[in-house]
Amino acid sequence: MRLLTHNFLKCNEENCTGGYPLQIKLDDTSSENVKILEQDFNKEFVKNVLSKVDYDVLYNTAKQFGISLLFSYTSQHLEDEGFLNSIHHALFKIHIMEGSLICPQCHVSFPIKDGIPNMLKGN
Amino acid sequence: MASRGRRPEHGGPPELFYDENEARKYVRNSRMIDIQTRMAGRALELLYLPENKPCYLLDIGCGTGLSGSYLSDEGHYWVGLDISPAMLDEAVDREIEGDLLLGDMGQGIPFKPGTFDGCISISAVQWLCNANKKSENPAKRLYCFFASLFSVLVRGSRAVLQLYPESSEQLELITTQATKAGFSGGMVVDYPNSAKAKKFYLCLFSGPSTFIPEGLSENQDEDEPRESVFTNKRVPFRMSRRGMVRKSRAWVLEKKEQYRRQGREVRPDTQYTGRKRKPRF
Repeated sequence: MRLLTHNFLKCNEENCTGGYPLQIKLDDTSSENVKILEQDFNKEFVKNVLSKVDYDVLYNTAKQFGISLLFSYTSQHLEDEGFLNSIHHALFKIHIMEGSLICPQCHVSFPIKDGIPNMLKGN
Repeated sequence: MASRGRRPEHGGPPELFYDENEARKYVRNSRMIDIQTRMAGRALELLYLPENKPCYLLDIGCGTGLSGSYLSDEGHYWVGLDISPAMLDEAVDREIEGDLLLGDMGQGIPFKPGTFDGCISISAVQWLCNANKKSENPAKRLYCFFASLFSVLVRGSRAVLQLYPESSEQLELITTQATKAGFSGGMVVDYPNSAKAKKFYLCLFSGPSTFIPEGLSENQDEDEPRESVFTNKRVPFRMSRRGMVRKSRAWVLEKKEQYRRQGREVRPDTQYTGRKRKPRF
């Protein structure tokens, strides 16, 4: 699962309000819990998606994976290829393979296996 | 595949029907690949996305990622949701481009409001209409699905859901719940006169009403209407019951229709419906 999808995912449990953002906990017993895969860079899409994502959440999540993005950006940065490339790398190329997502509100844990989070309720 | 005449939904829930064997057969069946790809193409066409603009889309019941691959080929980014782990495993083997989630659409779509530029679904939504556990209520699950879908879509965007409805009652149940959730739109039927080629696409708009695209047909000069429109407009109660004597047969039939539209269980209409009973009643 990419960080792009993680940025929009929220907790679906009954009566859980504000279950966002889900905390990522990697499975340390697994040999390959994160993968970096190449993806073609599409400048227009990165700019469009940047206006939709929660940038603070992206900044903090990327930090967890050792990526330090700019703390905040202005409209000038939107034309900077270097900045857009760093966003592209964080959003599209990092794949979480083994671990779990934990709701900050109700503390339910959604396991991630083989890159696929299990969002079924009552797990 | 299911035996002729028997619908797979009657045999149990989708995660049991689509086990490893079924998933393996599905993804290697060239006829299945062809049909699913063509339906994905038609659904994407009906989405009327802006030209040459890559969008972030949701694929409900993505299964082995056959429809998702088509979205990727068209330059879009997508997230797929499916309830069968076996089907998702096949998708992983195919190295599809989208992100996958294991989840139940009847429990709601777990995303923030205004996430997706559009949504497609190929051959999946009819699975919501059959209750597999005593605790499940199809109307409630359908409403939960549509309400959360309405929320996660960018305002003014669309969802195109290709499905195989079992009956017109089932279709009405589905469209009622979609309307309750705030959607407007209608049904597009392609090739309505061919039993094999006939396909239903439920086109839902999460914003102000727009036109319904024309259904495809071999016979171009057909007068028969192939699309139906439904909106959120409420018919004033007095207008729909105008001229009906209370407790008459016509009134009883209309009341039963109203209950069916709400998704409640209603006895079938027979020659005895609304008949005059003996005085002891």
